[in-house]
Amino acid sequence: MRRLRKDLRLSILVLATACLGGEMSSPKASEEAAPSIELVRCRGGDCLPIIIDWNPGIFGTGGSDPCEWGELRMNDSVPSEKGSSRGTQRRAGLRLSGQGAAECLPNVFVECQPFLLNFLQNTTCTLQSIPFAPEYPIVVQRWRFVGDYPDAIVTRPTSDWHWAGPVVLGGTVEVDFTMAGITNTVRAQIYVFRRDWTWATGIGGRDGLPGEVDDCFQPSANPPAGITVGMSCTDQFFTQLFTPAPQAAISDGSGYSAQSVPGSGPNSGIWYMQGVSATMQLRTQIHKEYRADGPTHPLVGDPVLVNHCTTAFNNANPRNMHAANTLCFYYAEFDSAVAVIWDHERRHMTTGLQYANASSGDLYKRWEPLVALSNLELQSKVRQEYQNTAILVANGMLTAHGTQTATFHFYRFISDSAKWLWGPSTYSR
Amino acid sequence: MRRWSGTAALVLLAANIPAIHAQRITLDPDAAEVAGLLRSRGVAGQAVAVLTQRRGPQVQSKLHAIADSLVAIAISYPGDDARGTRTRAAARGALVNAALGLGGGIPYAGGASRMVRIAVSSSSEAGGALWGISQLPNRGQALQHMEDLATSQHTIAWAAVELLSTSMGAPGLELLHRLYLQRAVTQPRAIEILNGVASYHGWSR
Repeated sequence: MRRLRKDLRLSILVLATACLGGEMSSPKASEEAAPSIELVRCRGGDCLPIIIDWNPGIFGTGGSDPCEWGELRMNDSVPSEKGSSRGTQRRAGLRLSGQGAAECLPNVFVECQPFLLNFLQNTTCTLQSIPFAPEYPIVVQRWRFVGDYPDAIVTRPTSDWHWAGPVVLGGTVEVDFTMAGITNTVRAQIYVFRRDWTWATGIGGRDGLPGEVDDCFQPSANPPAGITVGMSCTDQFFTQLFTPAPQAAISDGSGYSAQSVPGSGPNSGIWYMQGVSATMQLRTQIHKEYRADGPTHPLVGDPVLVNHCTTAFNNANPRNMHAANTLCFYYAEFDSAVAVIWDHERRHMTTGLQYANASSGDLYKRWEPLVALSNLELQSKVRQEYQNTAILVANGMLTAHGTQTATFHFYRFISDSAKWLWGPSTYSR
Repeated sequence: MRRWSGTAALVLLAANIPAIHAQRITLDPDAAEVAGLLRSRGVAGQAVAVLTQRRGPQVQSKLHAIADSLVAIAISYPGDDARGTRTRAAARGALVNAALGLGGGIPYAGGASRMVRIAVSSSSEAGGALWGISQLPNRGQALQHMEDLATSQHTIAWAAVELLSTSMGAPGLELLHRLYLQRAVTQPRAIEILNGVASYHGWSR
């Protein structure tokens, strides 16, 4: 046990000297993130952390296998959601039993450097044998990458001791090999820092210009007084909030672009999101009937209005609702009704932007990690998130509906009777 | 610290690492492993491959247990921050992708009813689940679930109407026309949308 303790301390010093002495691959990383260190016990290629208790004066591994081995690992960084530093790991093998190595098979493990990676950064995974023992030849049979999101597997049948290439998602790198007639598998983890995508800086909204989204008011006997929609809405897709719209218009080159990882490395052939262009630009608008550019109607009906208009314009030409209530004679309640409609729609817009700015409503955040084994499969996943976000934001906008209503009196042209009539109109606040 | 003389420091430093190594991605996870991965790292690992039996037949009870875990996390994993969003989305995405058989294998037959549960119970993942229902390979099943949702009082009833009109082709429009004639849609927002669709297509009753 004393010998083991000495070995451990020696290994720690070697690692500490190497790392603190400026051999890190990223000086920035060593300045920003404290290195961490761990001891693991390995059996059959799987290594688990050991909690070290030095104080009793005895270092006990709890095992009786004289060939049981472990590793001391020093990491210069740990993964974080928004981190961007590179990570490297130094490893030293050692016998936990403290016995000599002559009667034991060499320790075989796989190491990926770096193992904490930026998006599309190259990593090199290498099978290692410590000590190198020519009397126990190692034959590599296969490399395999098992992705952690969402389902990707890359397999490479090869006898190479290295596997290198750019990566877009983390996971487990595995190597199947034979040594002394026994097939074994060793593994290493790689982690990829996600890109900090957000659409918060690109989305927005404003009052619509006359004619801008008028097609999105569907003709009906009782049309809405106002709407809040995406600038790309049409008479067919009149509820759409995002551009491009509808969801079926989303494909590689329309709303986003996709690419596959080149080369023959652990992520080769995996399709990922390369760029994004979809956006949400909301427009509020009131129905044309309430606007100065609204459609005119014959000056027939309530004689008071007919008289006002004839006097004001010196003729009995058709008038629209805006003119009837503001130019023929000024009725303040009409202006109040128009103000209430605008306020109502602007609240929808404000709420929609709040939802879209939240993490769960940020389409780019949802799209960023998507990967697939084909471009078509990726497209399905992209559309799924698009639809999810669109409905989340739209349902959020509906929460802006208050329970209060307001009633105003002014002249309206009633289509059924084809007459101008004075009466109350009630609106949601 | 340069001499690493303090043994306590070593123990403390070692304690930072297990989070990296604790959850290895395996090829044949069970429900507990899938749930553990989602909770610790916000990823579903190989859940879809198992649910679609891409690497060989699986016991149905195991598949249902995994799917139920995904539903539970998609609905109830807390937090409006990036972690909460990512975790719920990963759970919902895995279930939808398995139900649709994206990436190969056998579409998970138990996915439809579970997607409905997410659609009516999760405010943040309802749309993705609804989209999944609309894309089910069994079109008859897809239309039946969409009809049930469009005629319900759930907050996504209007979205079911919208998807029927924009993403399910002629059968979706035929179904909507029937619902319009029968006045079967009763949720106010859904009625608004359906009236708009009827107006565009020139339906009358």
